Amino acid sequence: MIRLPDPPTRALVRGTWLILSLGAALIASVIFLAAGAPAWSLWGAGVLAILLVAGRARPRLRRSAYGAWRRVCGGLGRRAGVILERTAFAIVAVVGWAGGDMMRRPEPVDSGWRPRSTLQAGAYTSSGPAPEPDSSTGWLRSLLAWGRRSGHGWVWALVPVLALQRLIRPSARRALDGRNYTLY
Amino acid sequence: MNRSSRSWRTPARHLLAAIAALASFVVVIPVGALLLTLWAVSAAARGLARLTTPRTTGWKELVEYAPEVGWKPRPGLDCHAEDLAGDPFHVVTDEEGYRGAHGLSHSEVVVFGDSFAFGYAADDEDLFLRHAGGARVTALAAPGYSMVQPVLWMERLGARLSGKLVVWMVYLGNDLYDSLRPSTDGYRSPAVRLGEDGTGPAIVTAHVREGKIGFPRDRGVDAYVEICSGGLLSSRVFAAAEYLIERGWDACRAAGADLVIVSIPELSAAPRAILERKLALDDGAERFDEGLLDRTLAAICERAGVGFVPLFEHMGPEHYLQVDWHWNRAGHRRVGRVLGDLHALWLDGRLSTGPGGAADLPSEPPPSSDARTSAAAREP
Repeated sequence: MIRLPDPPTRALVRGTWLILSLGAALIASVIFLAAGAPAWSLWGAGVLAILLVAGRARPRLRRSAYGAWRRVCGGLGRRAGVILERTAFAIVAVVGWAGGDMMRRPEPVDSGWRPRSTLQAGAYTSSGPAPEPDSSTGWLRSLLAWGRRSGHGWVWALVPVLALQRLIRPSARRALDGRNYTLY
Repeated sequence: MNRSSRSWRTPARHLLAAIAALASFVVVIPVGALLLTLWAVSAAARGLARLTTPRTTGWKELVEYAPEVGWKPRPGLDCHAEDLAGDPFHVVTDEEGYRGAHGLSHSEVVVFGDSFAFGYAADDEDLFLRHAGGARVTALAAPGYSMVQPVLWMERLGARLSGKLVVWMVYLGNDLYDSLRPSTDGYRSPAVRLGEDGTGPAIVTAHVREGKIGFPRDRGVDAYVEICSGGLLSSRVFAAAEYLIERGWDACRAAGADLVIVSIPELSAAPRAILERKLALDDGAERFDEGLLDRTLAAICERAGVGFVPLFEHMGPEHYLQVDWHWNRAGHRRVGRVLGDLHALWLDGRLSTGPGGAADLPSEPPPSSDARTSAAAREP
């Protein structure tokens, strides 16, 4: 979601260049404003004009900027992903360690053994509790419903982390295979 | 586990989860701010791209069923289609479904062929037809055509081609192989039956109807490598090509038209990269010789007495798009110039389409000797 597709369309390269130019113009304006320049907004507009003209004159520059922005998003996204993943694990570990059964010794009188009957081969997927994917209602509703149904309401604490992780998901890459038909 | 211990554990878990979640905000808030900034830029760029991209028309609305040939561009189109990279291009067709401003009747040069000749991925104003000097050119082409449909069109149009220069563009990437296949991506297409049982070669059209057919998908780059490596498939496609060129030339000659074959090399970065990967893994790579295609076509044209222009001598990877594998704007200009030169030679009566004559075009700056290799290296 934060990472733009590769290869891009021309319109996406142009759009990215325009947005980055606007961002650069905004930053320039803020810098000139902080420096006490009287015509700070004109400086910003000048930066914007220069960048737009440069992008128009040199399309390769726009493509390079697009590639650079993709790399920045990819690099920062990867690092952010690691941090978010560790944060999510930390929440699970805290809940599991202090409030769960992980560190508790089984009581001798009550065996944890549960008899299971044999499943049909076609029906066998997983006998453990797991959130069921439900594409019609979305991952958030599915997760929250599962937490409520299974008594694991604490998973709601993971929602902000998981929501941010979804921003880092790679965008779908346009597939190009070895077939070179161009009809449909 | 007894009931009392479970009763206090659930609220304890929730409490701990809430505390952990609050504590995690120290990390999540700055990371979230960063990610949301990146997302905002990307989303704004996507939004702008959507706003500035014209609505495109799907291929099913661009073509219509045509008996025997399978499909043809719809007449009276003035819309945008999407190329293989997702970029829109402007398509205009005349009342007969041809691209070009002059119409078939008023054109001096008629171009037959597949998606290259159709001008796939090129805006109407950038088409090679518009850059052919003063020549009035019309393209009777459609994406997905093999070498068979042009022959059927030449025969069908007959006298309407009288006194014109017919330029038949053959894309070496798939036109040769497609001529043997009764289906193009599932759509029924006319094909050559070689008649090795003694019946002789023929064009088969009896199966061509509207709708798709369950037929194995094409072998793409595998077939290309096999054809360039000699062997059975190679001899079959060239036998079909020879039959079709002779038949096309017969149709042109009967109509009083001149014919020149123009071969289109496979130089675009995307298919080159796929090809390079295939050759790197293939044991038979040492037999691979792309020059075989132009050499064999030249020999066929020489035998038939038809002019032949290999565009490989006039174009390089810089004339092709990077993701879509058709010509870019510079490519269309270059092809237009070649067409203009052909037209000038033809007007002067110096276009050697007789026996032994390849079209004698003014020399272009020669492409680098390893143009085909460098195309793959240019992949972004």
